[in-house]
Amino acid sequence: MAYAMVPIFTQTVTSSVTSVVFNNIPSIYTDLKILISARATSNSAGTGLNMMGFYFNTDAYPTSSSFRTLFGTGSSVSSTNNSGYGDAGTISDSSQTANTFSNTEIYIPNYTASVFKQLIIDSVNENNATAAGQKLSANLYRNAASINRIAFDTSSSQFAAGSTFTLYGIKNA
Amino acid sequence: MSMFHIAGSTIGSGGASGVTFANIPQQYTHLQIKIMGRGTASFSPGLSAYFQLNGDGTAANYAVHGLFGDGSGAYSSAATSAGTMSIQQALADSSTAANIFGVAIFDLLDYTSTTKNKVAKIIGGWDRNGGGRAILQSAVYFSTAAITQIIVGTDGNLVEGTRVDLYGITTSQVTGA
Repeated sequence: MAYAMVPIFTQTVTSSVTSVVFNNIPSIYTDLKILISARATSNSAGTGLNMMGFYFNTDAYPTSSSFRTLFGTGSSVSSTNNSGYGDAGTISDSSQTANTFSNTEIYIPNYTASVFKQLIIDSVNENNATAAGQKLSANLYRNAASINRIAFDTSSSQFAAGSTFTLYGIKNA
Repeated sequence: MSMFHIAGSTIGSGGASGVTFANIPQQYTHLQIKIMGRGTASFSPGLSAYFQLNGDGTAANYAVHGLFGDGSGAYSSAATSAGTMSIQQALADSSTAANIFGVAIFDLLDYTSTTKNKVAKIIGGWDRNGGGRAILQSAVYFSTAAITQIIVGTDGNLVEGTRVDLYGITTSQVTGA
């Protein structure tokens, strides 16, 4: 089976921003994959505990989103669930070692199919101390619309300069 | 296409102390290493996979954090002054039944950046029919230098059949490869 991963868009944050958006996502691929290297400008949730959120199309803070996570903090493990927004994984924050950005992969299968969307996300942040996060997240978006726009924000103020977001399209044929 | 095989190595008869990827080309944005490995040391919970960057073995330049599940519980770990980007208990050891290897995928973003410390995300694991673990781990190299060399090793030697491959991932369309 032929397989191709094609870069669609890259967003590089040059000065702090509250959101990063991919608009006009083409519908010619089978799956989407997003690689994110990001850092937040503050630390509202505590060291290593800050997160990124996402939403599809124009459906901001949708009641049709829910997720479950497995999260390690460097000293403890927990599993949580929540709804009303999408969990795009953990993000490095301002209290962690300078110049250190989180590492996240988001995989969105069948983004154009007329079915609910299920995402898998693995992400980590790092720190020269005990507190750093590793997170697995499964997200459900109970909407069968094709995805043509993805927006990201963070629980911790803004994305710092140097954060990068790259959207890839994956074809299975 | 955006993902390209840069180099790879299959360990032959007699094993090897490690695999060195030198003179890593700088035209990609991200790197990925896939390893299916087993070591000669004996430690039944599993052997670490070590990733040393740019020949730097300074302990204080590395930290690692892990999230693990071993079939009976879930655990979190942290280590500063780690000496390498080490993935704890990721590879099969010599006491494991023959033909069983551990597997890990190591993703390093923005490896040519001269402003970012280098952060890797590793997903891996193995099962030994009575033990093993699933792993999500982070590792950081506190250096803003571009990465030109990565040495992959384990406790003892890597055994015959171990495979290590390095890939480059671009963020722009590339054709002809």
